[in-house]
Amino acid sequence: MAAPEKLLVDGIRKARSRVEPPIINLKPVNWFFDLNRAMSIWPVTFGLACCAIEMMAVSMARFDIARFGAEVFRPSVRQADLLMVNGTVTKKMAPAVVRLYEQMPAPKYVMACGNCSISGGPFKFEGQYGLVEGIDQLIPVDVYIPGCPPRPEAFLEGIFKVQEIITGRRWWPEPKEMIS
Amino acid sequence: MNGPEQWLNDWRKAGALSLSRHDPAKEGITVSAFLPAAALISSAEKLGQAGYTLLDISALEALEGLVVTYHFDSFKEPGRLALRVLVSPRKPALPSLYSVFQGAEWHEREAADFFGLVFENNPNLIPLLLPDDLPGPPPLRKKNGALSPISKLGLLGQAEIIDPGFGAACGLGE
Ligand code: SF4
Repeated sequence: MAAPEKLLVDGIRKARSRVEPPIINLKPVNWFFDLNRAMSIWPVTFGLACCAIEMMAVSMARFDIARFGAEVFRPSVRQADLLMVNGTVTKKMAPAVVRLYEQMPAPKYVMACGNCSISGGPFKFEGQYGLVEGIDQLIPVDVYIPGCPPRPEAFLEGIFKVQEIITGRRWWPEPKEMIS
Repeated sequence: MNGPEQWLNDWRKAGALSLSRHDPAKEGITVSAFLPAAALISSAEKLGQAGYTLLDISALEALEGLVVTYHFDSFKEPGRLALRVLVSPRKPALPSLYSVFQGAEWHEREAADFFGLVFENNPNLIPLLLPDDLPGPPPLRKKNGALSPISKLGLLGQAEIIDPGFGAACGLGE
């Protein structure tokens, strides 16, 4: 019999599914598919708290996530390949987040957007009773976007990072004048 | 039409433990009373008949026990009213106001979530905001030592203590 699963957060189990490597790995074919995937990421319409407002901002005309192919927000995780965990993950919501992750078809990627989903953020204090302090305790996270909330530009950088994870390189110029 | 003074009279007849007049500009309510739990439903019924609605149910843990506050307001008369009940933290049971104000069900479920209150005859007393299986004691119950007496909580306004036992328990004389 398998050892009982260790629960990291009170009574909430971790995601069980993992992303398996491709069964048939024809490198050039996969590279072609990955490139297409990276340039047409479909995120889930999923917002848990104030960070979701920035997700809305980044999908609107001014920041225009469509320039990078990620504007097709899907209402069902079964059609999506990027789960942006935007905002505060309560213990009540956490099992649903785990289930959403498990329902996504692979290849799938997770962005933890905002301090809340990274670590509990402003609500992490001694004696807090309602929050999961870091969604990465429950589902594997690929990209972390810090901020409370992150700027829309940071969301775009997060998308670039996911594209980099998929294809192995960055596709857009670095904003040099902002680094200094 | 019942003015605040008539409500005070009403509550006195219903067996209130104490009556208070407040400065509405500062405290947001005109009059309030500590009632015995048994008088709660009949008093709420009278308020309901006079066109008052239940605004919220809130709880607060004081040294003497849990203070449960019911706020009422009306579209016809200015001024909010508050009814308060003191319940023992060991056996925090209260009658449900569901039979008078149907919406009380949700407020009661919220108070039950955070303070472990039990509302008798609430038809659906399951957690509203918190997960069903949250371990540990109700989260807003304080650890011992952090409690203040009712007289220091600013709930009493300009108070008239009717029940001497209640007054003595709260450290207030006649
Ligand atoms: S990180 Fe800040 S902005 Fe984002 S959900 Fe938490 S509190 Fe809201």
